[in-house]
Amino acid sequence: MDPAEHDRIDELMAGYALRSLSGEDAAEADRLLSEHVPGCARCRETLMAFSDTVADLAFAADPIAPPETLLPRLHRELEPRDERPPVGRWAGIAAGVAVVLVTGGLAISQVLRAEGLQNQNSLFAQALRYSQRPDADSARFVGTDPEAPAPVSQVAAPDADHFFLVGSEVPPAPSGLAYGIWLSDGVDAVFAGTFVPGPSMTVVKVPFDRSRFDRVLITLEVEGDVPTEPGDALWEAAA
Amino acid sequence: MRDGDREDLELHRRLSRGDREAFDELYRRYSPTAYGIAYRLTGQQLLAQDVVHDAFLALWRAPEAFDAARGPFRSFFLALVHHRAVDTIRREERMRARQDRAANLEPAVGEDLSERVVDEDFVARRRREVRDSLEDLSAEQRQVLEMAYFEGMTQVRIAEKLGIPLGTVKTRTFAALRKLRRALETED
Repeated sequence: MDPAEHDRIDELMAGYALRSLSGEDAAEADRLLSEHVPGCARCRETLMAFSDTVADLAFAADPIAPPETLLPRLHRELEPRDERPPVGRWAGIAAGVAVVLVTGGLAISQVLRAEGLQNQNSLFAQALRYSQRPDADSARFVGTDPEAPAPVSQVAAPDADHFFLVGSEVPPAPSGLAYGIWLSDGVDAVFAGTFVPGPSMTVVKVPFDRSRFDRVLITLEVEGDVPTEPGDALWEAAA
Repeated sequence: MRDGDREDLELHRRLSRGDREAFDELYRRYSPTAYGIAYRLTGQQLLAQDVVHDAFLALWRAPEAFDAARGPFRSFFLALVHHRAVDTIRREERMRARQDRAANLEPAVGEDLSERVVDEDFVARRRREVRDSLEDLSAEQRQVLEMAYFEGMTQVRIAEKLGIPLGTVKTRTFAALRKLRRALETED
């Protein structure tokens, strides 16, 4: 990579460390962080150095003693280590994924072959690990018919820059259409991409900025199109 | 590795095993800095409390999120607090814009929370180093850094507010962080 390109990345990494990127810059940083930075020692080092420096900026603010009620409030909420939420809260999701993996092996391996075994395996493992984070939470999407449960759930964690859509037995989109994912703040919606469900299990990793969006929509879009407005909304979930 | 960082590492190791005394010690060390930054960003006591509360609770519930190979504990934890504070003010701004109402929490204006806080020695030293290094930046560099970090502004918004090109904001931000990094590395 030529030095000018690395200079450009350095500037993006500075903005990224400060959490001050938006729009195209944020998207470009996300791309670099997934495609370039992991394999570039120079950029990894730059990002770590900037992240440390930004963290130290906290010391520039005057320290303030928090209210005396805060520590007792925290004490009341600290679960003993062996009673942390993931065991109860996540057993269902983790077991659900595991059951599908075990009992639906043939179907899944067919899906994985069709969609790229490496990629789906990796996503599957990532989603499973992610779902076991104690701060992760899951929510099933809601459709227009409350009696018909949506076949898609989202798994999200407060500090993560992405979440996972986990679908089970999602029906194929009608011919010529594709499922679209939209991120919304209740007023505007930003198109995040489309997905094609497998016959059994579907896992999609979606970059997400929690400071900008608070809901996720799944719609039907014209296949191959990059829509500017959401199509018919099928399912929705608060993020 | 500094003594303070080494002690933090040990406290984090104990916290990961469910040691509440280690949690309390990390709270004692970092809650004034965390609350200071959360209050500076949100400008509201209740929001700042929520930010610090959520950050410490996340630390207890997911201690494995900290990876010692990626830097000292204080960097991890203070970044966690800052991210939550930035998310909080952006969410508040969005809600205000959406609902066209003023925040219903107490205003920051006129509040005086400057109760005397006694830092750990290593925290006090780092505080001095950071503040001295910030003083060495040019006024323009310090300005963009403060708008991004303490006001949670995006670079686009900073450019709009200052009436300068986005590219200039990027260049100043990068130069400021690089200079700050070099100064703080020298202190390490």
